[in-house]
Amino acid sequence: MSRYTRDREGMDVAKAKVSVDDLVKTALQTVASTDGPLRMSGKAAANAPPALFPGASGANKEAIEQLTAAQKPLITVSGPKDSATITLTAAGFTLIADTIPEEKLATAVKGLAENLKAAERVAFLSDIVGRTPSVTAELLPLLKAAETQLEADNVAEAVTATAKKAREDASLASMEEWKGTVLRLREHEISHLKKLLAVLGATVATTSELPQGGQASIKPHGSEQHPPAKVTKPLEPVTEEEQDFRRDVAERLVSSWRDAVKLGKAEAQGFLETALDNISGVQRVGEEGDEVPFDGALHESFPGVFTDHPVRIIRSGWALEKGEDRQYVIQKAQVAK
Amino acid sequence: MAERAFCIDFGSSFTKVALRTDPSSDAQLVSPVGASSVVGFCVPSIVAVERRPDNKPRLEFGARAADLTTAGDVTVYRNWKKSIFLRPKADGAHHSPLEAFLASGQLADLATQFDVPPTQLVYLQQMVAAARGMVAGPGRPLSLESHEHKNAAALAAHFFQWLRQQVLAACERLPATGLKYEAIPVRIAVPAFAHGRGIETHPGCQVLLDAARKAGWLLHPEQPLVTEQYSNAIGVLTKGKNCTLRAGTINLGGMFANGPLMTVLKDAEHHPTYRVMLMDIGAFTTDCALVQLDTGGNTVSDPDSMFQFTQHSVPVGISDLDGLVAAALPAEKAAWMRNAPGFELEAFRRNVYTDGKPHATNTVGRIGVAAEGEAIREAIQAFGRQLAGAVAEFCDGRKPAAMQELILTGGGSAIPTVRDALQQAAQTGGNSYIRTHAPALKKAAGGPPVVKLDTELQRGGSALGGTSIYFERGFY
Repeated sequence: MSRYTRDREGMDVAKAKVSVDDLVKTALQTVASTDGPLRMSGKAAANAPPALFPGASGANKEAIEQLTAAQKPLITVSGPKDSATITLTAAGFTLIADTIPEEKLATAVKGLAENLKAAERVAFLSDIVGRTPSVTAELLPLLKAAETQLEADNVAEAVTATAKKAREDASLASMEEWKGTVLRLREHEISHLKKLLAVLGATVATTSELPQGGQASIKPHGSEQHPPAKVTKPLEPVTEEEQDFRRDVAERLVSSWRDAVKLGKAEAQGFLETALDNISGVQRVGEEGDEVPFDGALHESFPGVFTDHPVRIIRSGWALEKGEDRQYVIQKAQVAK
Repeated sequence: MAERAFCIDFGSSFTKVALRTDPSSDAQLVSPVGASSVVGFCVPSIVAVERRPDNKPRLEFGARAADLTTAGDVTVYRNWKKSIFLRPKADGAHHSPLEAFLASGQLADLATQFDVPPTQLVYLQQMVAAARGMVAGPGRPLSLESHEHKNAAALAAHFFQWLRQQVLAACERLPATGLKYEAIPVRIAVPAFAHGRGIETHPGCQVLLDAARKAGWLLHPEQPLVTEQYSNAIGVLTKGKNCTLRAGTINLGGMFANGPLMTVLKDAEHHPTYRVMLMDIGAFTTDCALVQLDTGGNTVSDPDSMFQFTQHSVPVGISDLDGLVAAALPAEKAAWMRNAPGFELEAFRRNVYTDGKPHATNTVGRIGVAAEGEAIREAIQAFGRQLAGAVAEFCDGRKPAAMQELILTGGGSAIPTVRDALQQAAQTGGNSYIRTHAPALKKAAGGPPVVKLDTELQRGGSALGGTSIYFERGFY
């Protein structure tokens, strides 16, 4: 016990702290050297096995926690608390291996190694031999046995993995079949409902006709005259000014196209046809070579021709859509007999 | 009285049809499939006939017939309306004094004065003509006018039948109303004649009514005919609007937007006379018409029965302006004008005549640059002076009405130079106007109010006006 003196002012005057590591090592050595049962902690008693620690508080508590740490236990405790069997783990043995006499080392290692898995056993034996090469000969049979065991374990593991994969594949196949069956059931249900609606006098919009948001709409017969506003043609001209502008643009392009045809400017004609083909609402009137009945609203006339006379289109025309089933024919197609 | 009505404005070049579906609903122009593709409600008044040996004649109408040419077995009839209104001379001989008397406007006026139904007068004319035919015997040669008249009458029946099919098909595409469109009666707009009222007595009008009846149209029970200028004025002034009061009677103030006509009707003592001056500058003719009302200072509740008409046509139109401009241009540019398709010529007119800027072409370069532009401006001014002279002559000597409005329609009214010249000429004799109605018209600083006409009113005013409940006596 240290006394208080002036020159030791500020220093701890309590008992000197016991090293937990030392306590751990001492406990491990006790376990290694004891054959019978051991208790973890407790005062000595006549009918009780010896204890590793006299109490379970303070440094002892920390040492016990270190010995039994879940991540890397140094000892294993089995049996009733008062007569538990405490044995070293490989990790615990490794910590004190240096302190065990060589003549006892091989025996201790064998006892420990028997309870380890093959892979752990190989690693444990390799670590011991690395520290104490002199026990190599004694431990070699253990290593070979571990090797054999490891191979057997690997084979068994492969068999297990194969079987597991086979089970998983079978599960996936079953799930696919399940999904297909569910979809078929759904189709049957929809078909059945459509038939019921038809019987009740209604129609159902197809998926492509559904409004944004996916809400299905059921339209009674007779309501077809008032379809919902189409949102797929946002560029459709609405006002008179917009319609005039599109018509003017189309007319000017057709005018230049007509001149290009007349002057034999094939390249300019092609460029203008590209532009016209890509204008929304502009469409060709007939295709060159088509044989059609003459229609004075679509075809340029020639002397003697009349409605429904068979003619052949020799140059396409151009038209602009004007609402439902109406069109403005800018340039009629040229035809010949 | 008809709750609903169609009106056919049977024009020389284009026919327009309007529909009123309800006493208080606005009139709307019908766009049949066979209409012109440029202006959807204008149906070309053209009939083509193919007559092949050993085959039944085949007919084609409207847009499908518009560009056909007469050759071989095909005959194309254009501008055949005028033949309907020809007063053909007696076949192979001159009119007898009795026939001349029966066909005279004076007798028609007398018949109206003595409440003789127009149909009875027509029957009398037909009876005399039949008796004359019997006396002359078979094989009597027909005059050219008579032949054209009979041919036009036959064409009219076919044309009206085809038109009815197209119109009813177009009506089926209108928003569902549950109406039986085939049961809606029709009124036909016809040219005004010297005697104004009693137009039913005119043989041409009878031909039209017979043709419409044969074609399946249900004629309006009270007033199946209306003069074009009158219905045009009503269409423009009301903008095709129909209004009724709670009691179901006509709301003239609402329909005419309480304009000058209403001022005259409400305060005849201070404003005893009202007049609309109409000028329609078409492709081949310019029509001037006066639609006037003289209340004599008395309150008038039924103006329709008191309106009078005066009409004058000048054989000058936009095609003449094209000729003047072409003559002022180099030969290759004049040829371009002659051969340009319809849409190209319209663009040329819009650029050069209306906007006063050159028109660019790929083949003959820009038309209307520098000296050419000056020559074109002079041609337009010359055309304007020509029309203005005719209008001034028409207006001269007419005492101004208390309230007057001016309506300018037709393609020529969009040309500023021409429009200005006509507005100036319309003031001949001290005439002034409360308002001017015209397309693309801007109000001059300090000038009278202007009303801008859209395409429907500019070209479909007569058809729209012809459906108005203004002409339904039962609503007064």
